[in-house]
Amino acid sequence: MATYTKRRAGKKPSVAVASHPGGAVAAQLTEPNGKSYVLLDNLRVLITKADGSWFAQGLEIDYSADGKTVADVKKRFQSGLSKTVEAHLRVHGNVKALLRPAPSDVWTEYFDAKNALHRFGHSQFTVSPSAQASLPFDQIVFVESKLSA
Amino acid sequence: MSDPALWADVVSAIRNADGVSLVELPNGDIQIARGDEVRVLEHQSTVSRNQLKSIRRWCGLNQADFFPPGLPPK
Repeated sequence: MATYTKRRAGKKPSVAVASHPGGAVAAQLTEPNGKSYVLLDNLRVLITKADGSWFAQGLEIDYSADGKTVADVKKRFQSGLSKTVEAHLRVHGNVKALLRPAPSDVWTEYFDAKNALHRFGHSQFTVSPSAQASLPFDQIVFVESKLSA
Repeated sequence: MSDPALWADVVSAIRNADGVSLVELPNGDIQIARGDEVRVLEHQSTVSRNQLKSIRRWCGLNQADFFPPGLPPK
């Protein structure tokens, strides 16, 4: 993520926003009572199959998960990332340290496979650490690489 | 085709990694922290090579000093 900017403070909710040139956005809204909500928008996730299992790797955020099927790996990525966001909120009070992209070799794999990709649905992802463990992500783009065995 | 690593072996390897703290959560998930980075991995019976590569990266380890038994380097 390119920036992490706090836009408001005080008695009003504060908003911190980070954006990536590829279109991904992370936003954190913190209420005066300390409750936070995180929105991750337009994240790209590369999904590959190797050694009999599916693997999902985030690009703008370096998080990954294994799964038995494409649906399973999506679910595990979403719920694992949701728990990771909650952990960052518990430990740091923000998700700044989470907003680091995957290394260059992962990005290279993404672009090498670009002509053989399926894009899955867009959705939105919001987390409130106390109110809900995870909500549907609607703006994460899942990408399946057909180049993997 | 290769065998995946067993979850318990991976957890053990992470626990022994320098500079990495590991918390096993009641539901079987693990929380790993290194510096200011924290990640939660959901419990699973086995861990793929790709995921192991990510875990090594997150833990600041290389292939030589972090490979659970049963999953030799390719």
